[in-house]
Amino acid sequence: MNIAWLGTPATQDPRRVGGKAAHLSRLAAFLPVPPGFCIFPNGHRLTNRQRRELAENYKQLTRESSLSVAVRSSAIGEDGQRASFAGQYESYLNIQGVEKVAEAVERCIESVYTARAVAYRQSHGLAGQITPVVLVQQFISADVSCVVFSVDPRTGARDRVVVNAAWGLGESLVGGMVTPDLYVIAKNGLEVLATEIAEKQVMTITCPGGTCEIPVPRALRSKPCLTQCQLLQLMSLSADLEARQGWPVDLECVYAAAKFYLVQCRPITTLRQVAA
Amino acid sequence: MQTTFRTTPLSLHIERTESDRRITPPANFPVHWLHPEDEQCHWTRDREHTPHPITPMFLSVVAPCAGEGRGRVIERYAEAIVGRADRVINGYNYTYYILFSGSPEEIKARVRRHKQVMNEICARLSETWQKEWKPALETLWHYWQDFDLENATMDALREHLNGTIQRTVRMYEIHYLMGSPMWFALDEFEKYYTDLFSGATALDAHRLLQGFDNKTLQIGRALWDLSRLARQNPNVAELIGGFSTNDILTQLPKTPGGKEFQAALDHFLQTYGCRTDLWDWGYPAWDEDPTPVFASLKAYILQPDCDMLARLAETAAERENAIAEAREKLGHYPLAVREHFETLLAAAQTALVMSEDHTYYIDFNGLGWVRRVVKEFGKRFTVSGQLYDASDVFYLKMDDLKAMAADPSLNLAELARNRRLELESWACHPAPFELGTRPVAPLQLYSADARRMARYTGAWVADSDSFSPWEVTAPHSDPNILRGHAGSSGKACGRARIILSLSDAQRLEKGDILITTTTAPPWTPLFLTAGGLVTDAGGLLSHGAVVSREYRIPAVVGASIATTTIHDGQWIEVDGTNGLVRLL
Repeated sequence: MNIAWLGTPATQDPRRVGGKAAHLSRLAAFLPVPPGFCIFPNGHRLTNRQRRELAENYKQLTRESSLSVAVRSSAIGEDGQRASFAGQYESYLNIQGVEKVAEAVERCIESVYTARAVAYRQSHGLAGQITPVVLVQQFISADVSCVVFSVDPRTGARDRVVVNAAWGLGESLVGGMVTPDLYVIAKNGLEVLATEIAEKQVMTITCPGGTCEIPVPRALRSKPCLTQCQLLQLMSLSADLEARQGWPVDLECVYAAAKFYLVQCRPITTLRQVAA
Repeated sequence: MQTTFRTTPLSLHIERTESDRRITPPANFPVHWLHPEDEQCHWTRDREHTPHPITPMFLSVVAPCAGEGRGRVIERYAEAIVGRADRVINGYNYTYYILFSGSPEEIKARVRRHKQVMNEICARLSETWQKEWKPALETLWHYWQDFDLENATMDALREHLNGTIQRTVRMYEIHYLMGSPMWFALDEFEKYYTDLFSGATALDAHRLLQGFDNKTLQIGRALWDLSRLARQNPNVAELIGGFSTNDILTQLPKTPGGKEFQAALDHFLQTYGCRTDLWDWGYPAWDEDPTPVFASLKAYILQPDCDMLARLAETAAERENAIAEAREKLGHYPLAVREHFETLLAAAQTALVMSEDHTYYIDFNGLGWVRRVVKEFGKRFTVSGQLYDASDVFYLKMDDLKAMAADPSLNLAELARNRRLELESWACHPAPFELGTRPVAPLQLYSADARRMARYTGAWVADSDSFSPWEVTAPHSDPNILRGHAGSSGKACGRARIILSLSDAQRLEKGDILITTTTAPPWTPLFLTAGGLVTDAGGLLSHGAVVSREYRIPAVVGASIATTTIHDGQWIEVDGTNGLVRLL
């Protein structure tokens, strides 16, 4: 079997699909995770059979939504509890059409093998083969993107949730190109403890065939991206996930069509040193 | 010339001495300052609203009523301009603005409060206009509509005058309640649009606002309908086409089919006839002298059917295309960007309609009611021998009128006539834009309304990014090119027709370029005949520019010296996109 869908047992084992996909797959049953599937390639290129299979599954994935998908890597070893490989592998957003999807999948595979990623793995002392796994998910055209920590990563304080948020798709935020809004919410008081609205200069939006980064209109730069109601939703989502997983979580969420989607959930890896 | 230099950490200021900033009036415009301290202030003239000498009656009614009406709004809106002084110099009205002053923190807080109030009102601008301000104005109008002016006793008329003044204050209060949010909404939309779409101009932004029906266009259409009625009857069409106003009026009842047309004309004049050429009252109203109406009818009778409706439909279609195009481009943007766009668009569309409609409900037909009341006194004073002519009453002040009404033996016929002659003689002199002493720095105005108001008068206003006076006075390097503001895009070549008053409008032929000081809603009918427009005064949001866009003709506005530089009959090219006029 070369392809398996999120939410099925085949994609819930981190040793088989990598941490990123496994977490999402387990959560897909009860949380709004954009639907998708994992591809298990052999070697650097897709075989003809894999391409056919990819095309069928892509059609099925986009049958009831827009044709756009997100293609990301989820190599085994990534997103384990010991080290975060955030940002080490490629991810392609707003990809349309079978050909383009296949191309993005191959690039994801390639990225896993890049020397830089290999070096990074080795410096963390993780042994073993690197097996790339590629995740293809419905693409959510986000109005607001946020990163949510179920503990304060700066102090280790466990009684609060910290949210970073910026306009548009997640790339400007995750890539550090924009200074995001910062919100701190008390876990039990349901209270916003601190708000720092940043002058958000840029945002990522969709462009034909991908994404691009553009200036935020002046009128919106200093406006908060999230309302109090949205913040409380994020707070309870992250507190629930923390309780369920048994470890402090670092989430990537996007807000679109009046709803939050969970696009990534992983342990907070830097916490041990700070909070111990 | 003495100049002192003052350095600051950021920049070098060149501070001219007061004697350098003092303005020397032209030799044929001697200035006698009644209060010597006035000479230290910067006095500028509103050429867009009152290009000619101002009648004492208009000023003595409008200045106090507008002042009181505005006074009720200033603190509510945290306005930048907190007062103004007006002085009549050689018949022309000059204005000096008094700005809010305070510590930098106080000014900052006021700016914040102003923006907050404006945003709150603009969020429900259409609703407030439709459900609050417009009905309030219509209620005020009932007071005049329900009163029988001609048959009222003198006591009842005096009582009616007092009620009229109170209601004029209220009209101005509503005027100022509408004004600031209106210009704020347009300003915000322009800024947002040009920020979103790089390379887009303010004119591009205005394409999304044009083509909605408003009172100005309704009146224009009613006149067009009258011309269609005249075309149905060749005798009537011939009469209007070839004869003077007096001949038309005497011949009409005797012409076959004339009675039917007369009834329609009377209805039109009853409904819209109390408007005068411009904002002042010295010009005859249409129902007193329908010459401007006949001038437009003549021009329209020569034009084929559906010309006007087709053009207005094109304007609306262009708007819908521009909106669809913007929405498509924004389709990829976050919801907040799209929602903000829709909010600002809706407010600006309402604001543009309000900017024309307020002139109907207040400036022209609203104040037209007040003018009628004043004129009724004029008629009675003529009968009682206190005046030579009813229209001389506009050359008196309100206090004179009240004194004459109280004392039938008071005869001011000579005074009124002399004032009239004096004003008429000053009308031939081009009056300078500014008098007194220029300010050290341009006025820093945070409110869009205040900036616009000050710009009407040619006052020195600082933009966020430029420090130049509003009127385009710097000449172009090519002596055959005049510079102005881009008012309506497109290019047109045609014969220049300098028309300074509506009574002269019949000289304008199809395709001619209308050259004038300023235009007001009563000038609208000419825009269908003209091939382009050039004005001395005004900007992107002036009546002339707005209506040029509606009627799809190129316009250059605020060209400052157009009426004095361009010769009547000369061929010129109007480049409305770039704000240039080429003399050919």
